[in-house]
Amino acid sequence: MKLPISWLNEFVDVSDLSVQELSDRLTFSGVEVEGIETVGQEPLDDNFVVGEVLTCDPHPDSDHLHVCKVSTGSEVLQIVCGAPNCAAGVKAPLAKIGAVVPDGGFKIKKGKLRGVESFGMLCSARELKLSGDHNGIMILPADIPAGTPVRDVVGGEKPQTVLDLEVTWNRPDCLSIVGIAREFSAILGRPLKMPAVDFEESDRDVNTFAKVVVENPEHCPRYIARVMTGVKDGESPKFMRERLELCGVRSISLTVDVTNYVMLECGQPLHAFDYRTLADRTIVVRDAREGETIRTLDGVDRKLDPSMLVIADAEKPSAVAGVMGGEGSEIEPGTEHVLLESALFEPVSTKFTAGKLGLATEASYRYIRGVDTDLADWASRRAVSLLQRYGGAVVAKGAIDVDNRHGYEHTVAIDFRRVNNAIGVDLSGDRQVAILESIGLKTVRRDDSGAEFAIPSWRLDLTLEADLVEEIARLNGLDNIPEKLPGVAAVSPLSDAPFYARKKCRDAMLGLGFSEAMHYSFLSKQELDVFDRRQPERRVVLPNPVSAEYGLLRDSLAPQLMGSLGRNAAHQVESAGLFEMGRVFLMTPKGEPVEEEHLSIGLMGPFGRSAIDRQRAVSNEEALLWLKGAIEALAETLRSGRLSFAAIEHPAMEPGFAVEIQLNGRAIGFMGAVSGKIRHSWRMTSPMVLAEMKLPPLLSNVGGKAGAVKPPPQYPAVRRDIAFIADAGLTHAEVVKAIQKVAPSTLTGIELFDIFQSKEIGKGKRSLAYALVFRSAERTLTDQEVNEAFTKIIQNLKDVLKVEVREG
Amino acid sequence: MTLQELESQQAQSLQEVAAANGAAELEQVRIKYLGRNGLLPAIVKQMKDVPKEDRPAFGKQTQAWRAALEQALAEKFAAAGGAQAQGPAFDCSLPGRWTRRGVQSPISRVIEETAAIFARLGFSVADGPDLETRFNNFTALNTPKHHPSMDASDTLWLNDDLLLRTQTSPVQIRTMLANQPPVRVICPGRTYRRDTTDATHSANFHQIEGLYVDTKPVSLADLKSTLAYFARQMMGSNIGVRFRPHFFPFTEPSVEVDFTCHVCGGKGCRVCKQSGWIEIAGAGMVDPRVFGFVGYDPAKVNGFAFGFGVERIAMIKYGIPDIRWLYENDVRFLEQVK
Repeated sequence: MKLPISWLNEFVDVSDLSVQELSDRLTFSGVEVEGIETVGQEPLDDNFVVGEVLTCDPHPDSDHLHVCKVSTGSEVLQIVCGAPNCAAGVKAPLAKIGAVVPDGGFKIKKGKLRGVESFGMLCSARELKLSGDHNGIMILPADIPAGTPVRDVVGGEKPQTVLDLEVTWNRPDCLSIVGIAREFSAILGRPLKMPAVDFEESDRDVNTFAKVVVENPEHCPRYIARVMTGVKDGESPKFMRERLELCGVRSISLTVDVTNYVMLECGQPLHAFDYRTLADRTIVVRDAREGETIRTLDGVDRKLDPSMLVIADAEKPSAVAGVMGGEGSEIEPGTEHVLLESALFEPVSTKFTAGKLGLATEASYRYIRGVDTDLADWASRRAVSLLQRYGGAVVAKGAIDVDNRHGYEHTVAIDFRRVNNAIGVDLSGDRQVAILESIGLKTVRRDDSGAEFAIPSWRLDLTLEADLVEEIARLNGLDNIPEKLPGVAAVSPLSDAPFYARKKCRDAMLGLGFSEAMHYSFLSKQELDVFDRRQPERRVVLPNPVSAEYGLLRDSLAPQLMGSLGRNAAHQVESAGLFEMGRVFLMTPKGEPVEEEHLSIGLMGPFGRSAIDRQRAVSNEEALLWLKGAIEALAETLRSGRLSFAAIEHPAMEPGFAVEIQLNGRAIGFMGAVSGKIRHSWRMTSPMVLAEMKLPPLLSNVGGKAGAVKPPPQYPAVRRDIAFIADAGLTHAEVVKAIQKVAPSTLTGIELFDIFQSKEIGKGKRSLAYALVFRSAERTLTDQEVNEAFTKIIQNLKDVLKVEVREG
Repeated sequence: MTLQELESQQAQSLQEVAAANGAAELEQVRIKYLGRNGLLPAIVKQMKDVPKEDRPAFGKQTQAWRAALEQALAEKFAAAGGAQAQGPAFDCSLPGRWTRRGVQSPISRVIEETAAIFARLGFSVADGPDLETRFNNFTALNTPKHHPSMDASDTLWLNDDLLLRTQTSPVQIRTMLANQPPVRVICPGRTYRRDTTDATHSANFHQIEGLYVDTKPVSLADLKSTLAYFARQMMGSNIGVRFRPHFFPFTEPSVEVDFTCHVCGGKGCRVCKQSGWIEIAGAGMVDPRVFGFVGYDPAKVNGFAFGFGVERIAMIKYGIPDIRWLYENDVRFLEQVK
């Protein structure tokens, strides 16, 4: 809301407060000042005076400069001036040393022009920003005495300061100049001066002019109509036009301007109807009928429905109650006969009507937040008095006042001790009462322990003791609240294990070298489609998204992680590892949106290798094995359980490089190497691999009971290495299984330590080398028993897997 | 075996030590003589065959041999190491080889630090879903039923009842519905508004909500000091807090909380628009109507609640000028936030 300080000053004297003080006072009483603007130019300061040119001689060293003696009234200064119209006897604005010239903002200093000293500057109109004229110095009327401040001679009016206020939802009473004045009256302890609302009435009774029927008193608790004839609806007076403009309201004509002016002034929306357009001279406040339409003042035809309240005449709607008038009854230039509405409309129905019509007006804004329930008559009188004064309105006698208000009057009690406990201060009962009375509350009961107050009609937000605690706290000053940590130690009895389980997972991922990513919960359909379009029915589509780019809720974390890795690659980041812990949203088959927590992990390029080892190209296999290793390390840290992996197919992954991740035999996610086609969009040649898993299963053992540790082995281990050539299709898992099948219980480790393919061993073959570690917990193993076991294992590999064992 | 033989073997072993070239050969010598199946253990095992009267001399000689051999080996091992050190000097300017620790998102970092600070004040961490009900997100938080925050222009609704939570305050409601006072929790989480993304706005962001409800008196002064403690722990020991009156449907009184500007220390600068203060949080005493919604007796309990934006703290703390950087995951940015 815009608050011109000059207008405020009319209701409460704040002339001695600086703009900054006013702004601070308001902010600390709960109305935040969002901006301070100055409309109009700052007047010129005392450094600009009328100068009289006494002498004007040519500069000895220039063909266009003059050396002048200029009187300021109190002294004579030497000024060098280049203006062609400078001559002895003229008067012109003089900027003295220290003056800041408005056009350009430079400061006048003592200077030398071609060797001649100059102690100021004679100014052109443009230099003073008074007009565009820069043909010479600004010649002022000869009768003005030298030394007169220039601002008293020329220049606009005093600039106006306008505060831009953010009024919170609970304080609709502050949506007016009077409302803010009332706050200042309380803060400063100064009287509130209300304007006169008296006017002369004619002899003819208003009831002979019009009739008002309120069919829905619940949505319109009060309706006041006054009728005026002979209004000279011309241009509004200057002060009114200026104030409206300062508040951002366009001036239209006197009648309309007065309704707006009074609304801005006191907060009561008013509406003026062209009296002659009202069929049967009747106002009916009723629900709209099915199928009814109205063309509102903005020229739009609007469909009405019975949930909306309208102001109708005997035939048709003339206005949408509390929202906007209709074109049919609009005040046109020259309208003489006016029916003025001042009504109270109920906030919730106004809100839904305005919402349905997609209309937000100054009136609906105020009704929705809540208008002073006892203001309608005052505002009506105020408007009428202005229309009579400035438009010569002839006012019908009396008002039609349909008053169905009830239940607004109430009282609220406080307990002095409880108030002090809630704020953490020690205020006397007298002080508490005085604070509340300063904002218009009336004490209806008072004893040693507490008091009860009648609430004024403009503060219906005050309904509970807590509301009065707030008033006392803020008006006593929030800065006066002391700091003290809660004296009694209270420890939360609630568990926060889930938070710390997630932290453990995050720490583990960071420790493994992955950086943490965060993506929006929203994305576009395209972003998901690129990755996986197989189950569009499980996506959650937002009915009313921020933009198409954010049209869906993510059902998977991997597409965005893939995008981030790709963009990093496009920025020439060679290798990176990222993870994200976040929520995804899925539509159940029943059509209910649900959320799940997921973990995504991705890496690209030679991630994991040290810098010195990054030239060698990375294969999809290597990258995916790094990722797999990270997942295994994570699962170990979190004691998640037994991981297993199985080949699957995935549209975003390279064929053969998509893997299902299982935990304790249950699928929890997938991993894979992103297809070259997708990577190509970031011109990536190096692999990118991704995994996504459900988070809760991974965390299910975090914080659980730790298993008992075993003593470290006492007896030495014996290692035997075996290398063999096998079909490339033979998997590591098959080898391990074949070894374990015939191994004694003393085989404690099977470690793959070399794997390669080469021309020498032939196409479709690969060489595998394993270290087998034998160890007993009870004794030192003998060479003989180890050799026997080892031989058996070799034999089994040869027999079952048909491998060719490499000797030596 | 005679004493002479013993002596000659000793001499032999010491010669082999002297002749050994490098640590690997030395190790072979050590295994030959001192290993588990080495010569010296074998000789000790044979001691029982030596005539009783010769045993002391034999024993003495064996021990002397072992001592001499071990010393020679130790000296030679040390020399072998030393010899290597005389080769090309270790270039200590070469890059170290280790996988670097990943960098945490500034968002989760602020959340974890906040949790740690409030843990010292006895607050635990509570969680709630991103998909919330109208009741938890608005109704139980005493939002007037015609408050504009519920409009489809501000809130992302999935259907008539379900929405993407606009604040973490509904976790308050969940916590109070499930527990009896005293309750002391902070609730970090992701929140959603229908905001167009720019340098300071994001359609999703994170908040941390705090709630303390007790049957003992709790005051605005307790709230102020709790937030002052947090401010000093999070932003630095010279940071103070101040309250400004405000309005939230679920607190009464409601305040906005400013921290001393961390850049100028309160003197006034560009960052704080010359005010010396930076707006950080909203807070207040829990509105008694909220207690009514969660089945607490408003006459018996009281408490405070507060909430602030995680991104805002992160941006202030790490000097991040644009909120979008927090969601772009550019590693060249992330790696600076250490």
